[in-house]
Parts: sequence; structure tokens; C-alpha cells
Amino acid sequence: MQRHEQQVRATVLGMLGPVAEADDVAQEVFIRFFRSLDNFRGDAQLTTYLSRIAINLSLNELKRRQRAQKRFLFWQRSDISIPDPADEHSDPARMDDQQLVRQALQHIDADYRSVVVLRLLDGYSVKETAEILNIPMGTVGSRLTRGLDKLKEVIVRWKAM
Amino acid sequence: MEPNNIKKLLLRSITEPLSKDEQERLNTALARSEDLRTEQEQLMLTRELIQQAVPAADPGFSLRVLQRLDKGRKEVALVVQLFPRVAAACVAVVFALSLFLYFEAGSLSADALVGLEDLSVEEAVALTEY
Repeated sequence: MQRHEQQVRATVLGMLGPVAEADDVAQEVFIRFFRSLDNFRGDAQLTTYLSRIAINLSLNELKRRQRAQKRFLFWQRSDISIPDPADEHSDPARMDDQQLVRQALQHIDADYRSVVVLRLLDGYSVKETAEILNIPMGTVGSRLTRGLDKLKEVIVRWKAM
Repeated sequence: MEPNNIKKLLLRSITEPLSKDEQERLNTALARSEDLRTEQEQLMLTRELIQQAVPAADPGFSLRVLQRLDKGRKEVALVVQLFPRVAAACVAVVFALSLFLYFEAGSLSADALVGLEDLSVEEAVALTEY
């Protein structure tokens, strides 16, 4: 577990941002893995398998977050939005580079974010990224370049503040 | 070459190796445009920042996972352990209620179960008119 812990935490933090739920989701990745050990056939690499669980659980968490936000808006019947957990402490001027990147990642679409995280942060190849996300390799390339471009815009804007 | 294509080439060059011809075209465009060079620098910095965003080791993480696994196992064990007792208690309650009903109403018919065994047709009609 210790060997894969850092990569799983990096994936989840990249996907969800520096929020309290990120640690719970990272723990849940290993819990799901241990519970489904019988289903792990060993034809996929363990790291790839764990990353797939991490991405799926992170996407579920993002959906849960969106539903909670919609419910809140419905009950409040107002245009005030609840603060996104990823936006807490989001003063770019006070962030170090790691925080800045994690926060900036939250400002790009989840589809692009997952590719950027797997390819650039986790260091997977295009083929492995395509397998984990179950998308064609061409889509990995186009999402990566678009994601990187958007991320650059956010980071440059924040760095200039 | 169109600026749009050069931009695509530049973006691709940040994440994958280009062919010799593509690299030459990009180098020519970079030599001509300062904006493009600035953009390349920004993209390379962004890539570098992402690659460095690996979280620091968390010594308590494994322990927390093991504690959660242990807690989950204990909960499952508790349910498995309690299930026969809870099931037996439910059967005993149903049996006791049936016995009580039988001795009170003298029958276990559907009418007795809903308390209508002594109700006459006239009383039932009167109830609906009430």
C-alpha cells in the first residue's frame, strides 16, 4: 500500500483539489481494492488498476458535489451559490506552487483534468491513460493539449495577480 | 503555416515528441514570433508545475486505511453474529402475537386479524355512512 499511496493521493488531490474529502476518497480507493481483490485478475498493472478506481471515485465525488450544490440552490431559491470546497482558501497570491496547480486544475473541465492528471502528474503513457479512462488515444492527445492550454491561462492569470 | 496550426504544434510539442519536419516548422515559427516563445515558456512552466505537484508523504495514511478496513470488518461481523438472534426474536414475537390473537378472538382468520370478526353487515354499513 505504501508503494502506491503517494500516486493515488496525487491522482485524487489533482481531481478534487486540496479538500478534506480528498483524503477520504484516497482511503476509499484502497478499501475498494482490498474488497475486490478476488476480482483483480492481474492482467492490468496494479498501479493502473488503482488509478482507475481513484479516477472513478473522484468523478463520483465531483457528481455528488454538484448534486449537493443543486439541492442547496433549490432550497435556498436564490442565486447565491455555496462556496465550492475546492475554492476555499483560494487566494492565489497566498498559494505555493503545489496549491496553485491543484487549485488551477479545479478550473478546467473534469474530462480534461483527468487526462492532465494521469499523463503529466502520474506520468502514464498515452496508451495507459486511454486504457484507464476507456477513451481512444487520439482523444487523450486532444484533451491533454486543450487542458494544458486552459491550465496555462489560469496559472498565468493568477501569477500576474 | 496558419497560426492555429502552429499553436496546435506548440501544444503537442509540450507533451509529445514531434517529427523532424514538425520540429523544424515549429523552430522557424518560434524564431519569428516573440509571443510564441513566451507562450512556449508559459506552457513549459505549467507542465513543470504539474509534474512537481506530488503530495508529500503522509505517514498516517496507511494506518487510517487499515483502521477503516478493520471497522468495516467488525460491522459486518456484528451483523452476521446478530442476524440469527434478531431473526429468532422476530419469529418469537410473531408467534406470541398469533397466540394472543387466537386466545382473544378464538381464530386466526383475516377478519380476526383486523378485528372485524364480530362486526355484522348492518354495523359495517353504518360505519361507511358515518
